[in-house]
Amino acid sequence: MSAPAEELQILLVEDSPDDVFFFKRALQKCGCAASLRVAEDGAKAVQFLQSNAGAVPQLMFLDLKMPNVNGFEVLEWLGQQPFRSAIRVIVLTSSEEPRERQLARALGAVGFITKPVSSEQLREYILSVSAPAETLPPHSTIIRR
Amino acid sequence: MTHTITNQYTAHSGGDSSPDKVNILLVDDQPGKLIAHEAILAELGQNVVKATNGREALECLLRNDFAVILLDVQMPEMDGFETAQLIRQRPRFEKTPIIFITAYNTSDIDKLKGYSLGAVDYIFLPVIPEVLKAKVTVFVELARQTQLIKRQAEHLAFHYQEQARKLELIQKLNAELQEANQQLEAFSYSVSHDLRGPLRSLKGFAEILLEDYAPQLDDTAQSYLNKLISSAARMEQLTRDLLEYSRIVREDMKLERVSLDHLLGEVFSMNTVLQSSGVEVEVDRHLLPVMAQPTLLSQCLSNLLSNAVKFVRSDLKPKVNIRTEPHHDRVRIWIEDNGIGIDPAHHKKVFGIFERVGNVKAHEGTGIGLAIVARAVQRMGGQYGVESALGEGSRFWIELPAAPEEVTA
Repeated sequence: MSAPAEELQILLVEDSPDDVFFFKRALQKCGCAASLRVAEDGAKAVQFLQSNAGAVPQLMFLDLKMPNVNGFEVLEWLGQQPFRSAIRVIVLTSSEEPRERQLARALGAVGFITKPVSSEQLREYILSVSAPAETLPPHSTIIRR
Repeated sequence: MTHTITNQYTAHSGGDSSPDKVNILLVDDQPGKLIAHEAILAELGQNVVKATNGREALECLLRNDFAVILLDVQMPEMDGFETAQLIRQRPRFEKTPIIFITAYNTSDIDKLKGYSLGAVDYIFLPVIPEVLKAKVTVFVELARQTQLIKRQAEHLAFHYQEQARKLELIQKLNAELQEANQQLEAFSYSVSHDLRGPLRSLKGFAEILLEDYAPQLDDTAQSYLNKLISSAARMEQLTRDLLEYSRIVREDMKLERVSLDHLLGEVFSMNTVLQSSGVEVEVDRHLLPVMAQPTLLSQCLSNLLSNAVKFVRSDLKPKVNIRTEPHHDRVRIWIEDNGIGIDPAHHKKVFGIFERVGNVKAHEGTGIGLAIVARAVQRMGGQYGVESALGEGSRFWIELPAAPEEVTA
């Protein structure tokens, strides 16, 4: 990759051009410096990671339902790679099926976003790469009696 | 002459074959002895059939089953042993018990001892009525038991057949149902993905249009765009809620011990409505565990909590209180809010699908959330309800089986 070493690298795996457009826009608006690569399906994502095994992106946003190689298959493949722990995978879903989330979580995904992604969500995940995010709701208080 | 008597008896016994009576065959060449023995056996209340020689005895055997055959050893032409041998040659009578009636002489007893075919006994002449009755009774009882078992076996066989038929039908229906379920699942998935994709684009581009080109649009154009966006948002929410509702049916219904503390943590971290509401949630320190399907229960709690923060006066900070209480062998989970409350007249209605009551316009919602709660709780074998009045907040409850005490090793 030609991006400077300190700049965050993001890989978006998404087959819908509209969703890629919305993602790029949200990234622009979130105010974080990051360079984005897009893979149009799972097979292209695998190909990209294989040829960049020495400098894999820190963040990957992964659609689940895609032609050729789907998101689950990408996660499965990724689990067997030496650079697995260098990438945080956030799943982009459309369906919100709990079963899909459970499966993706079991395969190593650390976050879930129901499309479309917002610039706030993107910022949160980008910041979480440097400082792991809290799971508690940011604006709510939970009191234990 | 004696032949006619025999026929009369067989004909008679054939016509009066009550299911509880068994047949006894008396074989003797002397009519006097036949009548005497018959008189003794009459007290047993069974059908007595008489034959005066071996051939007649065989004829009778071909027509009826017998509990026992009483065979006189000393008969002209074919004696008792020869007759017995002929009887035993036929597989059907292989096991029919035979009692030989014989005079007390050594040669007969020797023969009897050597006789080893099937159930055999003997009685000495002159016959002592009590001995005859006792010995015959044993075989009559045996025959009756056998008959009973046979009838039960037939009955059982019929039942098994019937059950096998029903099982086959159930399996067939199950297969059909499973296929229908799979089709429903595929349908739901395509609704969730293929229908929501275009909808997302529609809403997304309308939003961008409004954001980037607002200065070039007059107020009317902007209001149209806003209407478009809110309609798309509403449709998005509808598809989401309908999917959740249909998911309840597709979910495997395996109840397990669920710790509410853990589950609520998950619900809080997943529910964006809750997170952005600024709600103050008070959770009781000691929540009782319940038997539930975790995914369904978390959906119920999530929906109830969303409702709790949604239907609150805009000038109030939403507050929710969660606690449990034992209710016989069940646990009642209470979710209490400081919201606008529900008129008691509408308490039943709120759990129906697409039912919204009160000031709908001011509060978002598709009217499916509580229907999901109702259906999910029902599927888990529980109950649900609400206590509320207008302006007093709502206290929703769901009741599920209590989880047994955890075994500590």
